[in-house]
Amino acid sequence: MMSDMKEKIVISAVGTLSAAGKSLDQYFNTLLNKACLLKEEKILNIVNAKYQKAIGIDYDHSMDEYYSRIIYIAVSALKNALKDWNGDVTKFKKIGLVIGSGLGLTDCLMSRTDRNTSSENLLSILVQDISRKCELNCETIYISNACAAGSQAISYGMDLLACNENDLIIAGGIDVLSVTAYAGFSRLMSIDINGCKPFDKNRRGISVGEGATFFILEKESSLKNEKRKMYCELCGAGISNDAFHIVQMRSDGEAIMDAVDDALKMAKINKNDIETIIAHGTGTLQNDKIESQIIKSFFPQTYQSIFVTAPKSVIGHIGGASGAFGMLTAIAILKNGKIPPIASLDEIDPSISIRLVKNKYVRYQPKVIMVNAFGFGGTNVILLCKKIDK
Amino acid sequence: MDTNKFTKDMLMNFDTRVVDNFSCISMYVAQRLFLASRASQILPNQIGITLATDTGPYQSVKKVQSKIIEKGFVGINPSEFPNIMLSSCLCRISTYLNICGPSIAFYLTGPLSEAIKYAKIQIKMKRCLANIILHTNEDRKCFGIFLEKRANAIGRGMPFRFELK
Repeated sequence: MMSDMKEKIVISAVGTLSAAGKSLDQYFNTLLNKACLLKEEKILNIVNAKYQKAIGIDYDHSMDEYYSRIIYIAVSALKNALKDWNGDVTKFKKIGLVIGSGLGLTDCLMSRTDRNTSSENLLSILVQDISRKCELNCETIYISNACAAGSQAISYGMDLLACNENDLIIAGGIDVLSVTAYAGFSRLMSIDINGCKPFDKNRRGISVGEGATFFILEKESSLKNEKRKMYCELCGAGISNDAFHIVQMRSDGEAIMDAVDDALKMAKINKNDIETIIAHGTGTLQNDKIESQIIKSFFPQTYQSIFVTAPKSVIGHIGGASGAFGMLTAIAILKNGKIPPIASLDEIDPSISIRLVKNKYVRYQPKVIMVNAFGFGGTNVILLCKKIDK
Repeated sequence: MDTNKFTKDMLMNFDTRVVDNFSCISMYVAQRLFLASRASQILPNQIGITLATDTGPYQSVKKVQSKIIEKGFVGINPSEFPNIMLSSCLCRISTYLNICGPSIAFYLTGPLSEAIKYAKIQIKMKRCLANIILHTNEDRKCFGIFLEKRANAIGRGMPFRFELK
């Protein structure tokens, strides 16, 4: 049922900024060294400081600070990507900027007591402002679909290139520490104050993080005679909806398996070709259990040989950008031939029998990597990326 | 549907107590499209939802944030917190109508054509055969379109008003 991709879509540049680093190599070294970042105490300090400012008198200052932070992180990461790309944007006629963010500028509304059009539409201006600050002449698309947003931005970027709607795409995700989000997740009892421990027997919930990651996507043909990198081929994407619950996952995983199936058909890849999975791995009891069951059910012959890692153990859950960071992890693995361990994994949940990378990185060069993103609200996005043979 | 003319009890067989107006009106318009298009004839995983908005669930965001400011984190109703995310509205529509295809939520700063383009591309990429496109703005109105692959509509004997080129 899925459309065949007539021409290869590749990722030719990467830009990132988070507590794990401001380059692909820095980010990956942090994952390899299992450095758990943004300890809960520090997160609470940042969040509390923002909260104090929000209830203070000078609301403009508070709003400006949050806005400045998210714009700074996004623009820095995007400029890193453009620098890594080393291309000439003027050669492209139709550039698209597709950004996913879970809560975006939500905290900017925190202290706004006035009610006017500019306030009401404030939530929608994020991507336009980012493109303006980067002085990019491009179409802007802002996807806000919770934890699936960043992956969905990449997937839509692929589609736009495949359908010749654009000739160059910058796609990725951004989210920053938010008082509103932290408060809500605390009330939902979703946060593990000891740090998230994906797939661990003693896991209790998520950690929050912040950052931005962007990729430059283009058709392989546009790279002919150009001295630009090709990190990987984006070969497949599948999207589905659980149609189940606003915060819980459907336990049978049927919709997720549909999405995996669609991604494989689009990529024209057999399921046995998947060698590594970047799990969504949030550290919640439910997510990790269901995700591992799905991997086992969908890959009955190979689940014990597929390496599974979960970067949230280091960087926390970066909301709408988490799928983009998943893709960043995949690219780093393809580049380095090493699969990072799940940093905080001490004792694997006995009910989980997939092959989790624990303690130390694994030296392995996969050809195809699957990146999972399962959003609040039930949207599931599966991305497949393939190593490019030089 | 204009929000001035909409009341939650227009939404049938659904408990709306913790569901915000933004979601309710979106669900109502989606349901009307679903019924008018006889979309139950299409497999659930072949229908997608595209939700577009300029405002987002503005009222829900302000409500949650005012609770945080007044009472701190404990002031939040955990059942109402998810209303601040567009994904919650998407989920309510998909659950209400059992739609399992590609779903997405956009913030728009321009015309609805961006959302229509997304839905068209999902059909073109064969991820779905049909897509419900909604444009909902808090305290203003909700507008919806049912987009379907031409051959599928003809096959089902459904008349159509416009064709996208």
